[in-house]
Amino acid sequence: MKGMGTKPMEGQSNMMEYVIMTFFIFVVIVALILFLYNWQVSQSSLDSAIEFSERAVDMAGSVMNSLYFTKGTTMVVDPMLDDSKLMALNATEGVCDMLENVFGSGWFVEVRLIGDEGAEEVDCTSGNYPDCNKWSLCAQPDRESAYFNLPVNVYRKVAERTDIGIMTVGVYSE
Amino acid sequence: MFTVNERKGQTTAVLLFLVAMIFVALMMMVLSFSETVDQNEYMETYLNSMLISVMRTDSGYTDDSCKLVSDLIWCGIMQPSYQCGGGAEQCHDLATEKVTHYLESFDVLKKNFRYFFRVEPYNFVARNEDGTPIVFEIGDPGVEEAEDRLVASYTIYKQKGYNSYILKAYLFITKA
Repeated sequence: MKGMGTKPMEGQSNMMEYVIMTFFIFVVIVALILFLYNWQVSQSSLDSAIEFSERAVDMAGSVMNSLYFTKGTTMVVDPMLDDSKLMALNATEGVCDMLENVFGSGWFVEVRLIGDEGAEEVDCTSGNYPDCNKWSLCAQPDRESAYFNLPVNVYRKVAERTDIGIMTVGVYSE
Repeated sequence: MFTVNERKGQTTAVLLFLVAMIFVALMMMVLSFSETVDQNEYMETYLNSMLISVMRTDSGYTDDSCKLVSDLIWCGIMQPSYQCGGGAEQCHDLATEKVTHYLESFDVLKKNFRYFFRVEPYNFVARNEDGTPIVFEIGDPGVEEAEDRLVASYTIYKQKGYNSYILKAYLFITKA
C-alpha cells in the first residue's frame, strides 16, 4: 500500500488547525453575545429598581417636608409627623386623589409607632384616636411596590408628647 | 531552532491566547461599568434619622432636665445624680435605660447590626464627685473600631446661665 506523502498530511493538519481556530473564535463570539445580552437585561432591571427606589426616597423627603403631614406652621416646617394631621387625612374621603395633585400618583405612606414594646398594632380610625399607633394612607396591598423605611418622630397632639416610629413610604410600579 | 510547522503551531497558540484575553478584558470592562445599588447610602440615611428620632423622643418625664431623651443624656452627664420626677432612679441610669430601649425598638438594629452609642462633652470634661470623668456609652465598644462601621452624630446644646455646653452623641453600627 502506498502511504500518503508528507505534503497532503501537512495540508490536512493545517486545515484542522484552521477549523479548530474558526470554531474557537465562533464559540468566543457566541459567548460574548450571550454575556452582553444578559448584562443588558440585568442592567435594565437594575436601572428600573434604582429608579423605583429613588422615587420612594424622593417621596419620603416630600412627606417629611410637607405641612400636610408634619407639625409646624406655614413659616416653619418641623420635620416631625403630626398624628392629628395623619388622622385627618386618614378620615378624609378621596384624600388620595387630592394628594395626587401634590405628590403625583401611585404612592403610599404608612406610619407605625414602635416605642411601646409588645404593644399590638392598632390602626387609627376616627373612632379609636388617639388610642392607636398605626396610620396608613393610600395603601393598595395587592400592588407591587418599592418602599423605603425611615425612623421618624410622631407628635401626639392630644397627649402633647413626641413618640418614635417608623415611616414606610413606597411607590407602586406602573 | 523551530521548524516551519512548529512556528505555525506557536502562532496559532498565541492567536488563541490573544482572542481569549480580548474576551476576558471585554467582560471585565463591561462588568466594571455595571452599577450597583449603594446599600450604605440608605443605611447612613436610616442611621441619621434613627439617632435624631431617638434624641427628640419624649422620655415620659416632664421636668425640664428630663423631658426629651437628649435632655436625659445631658442630665446624665451634667447632673448624674438628679432624680427625674422625684423618682428613685438617677438621670444617668435613666438615660442609659431609655436610649437602650429606643435604639433596640428598631428591629434592624437588634437583628442585623451591632451598635455602639457614645456621648462626649465637647471642649470640657464632666467629672463625678470622686473626680473620675463621666462616660456615657452603650453597646459594643468594638464597633467603633470596626472597618465597615457607619456612624451618625448629633449635637446636644444647652445653655445654663451665661455658660453654654455642647455634647456630641455618636451612634456606630456594623453588621453583626
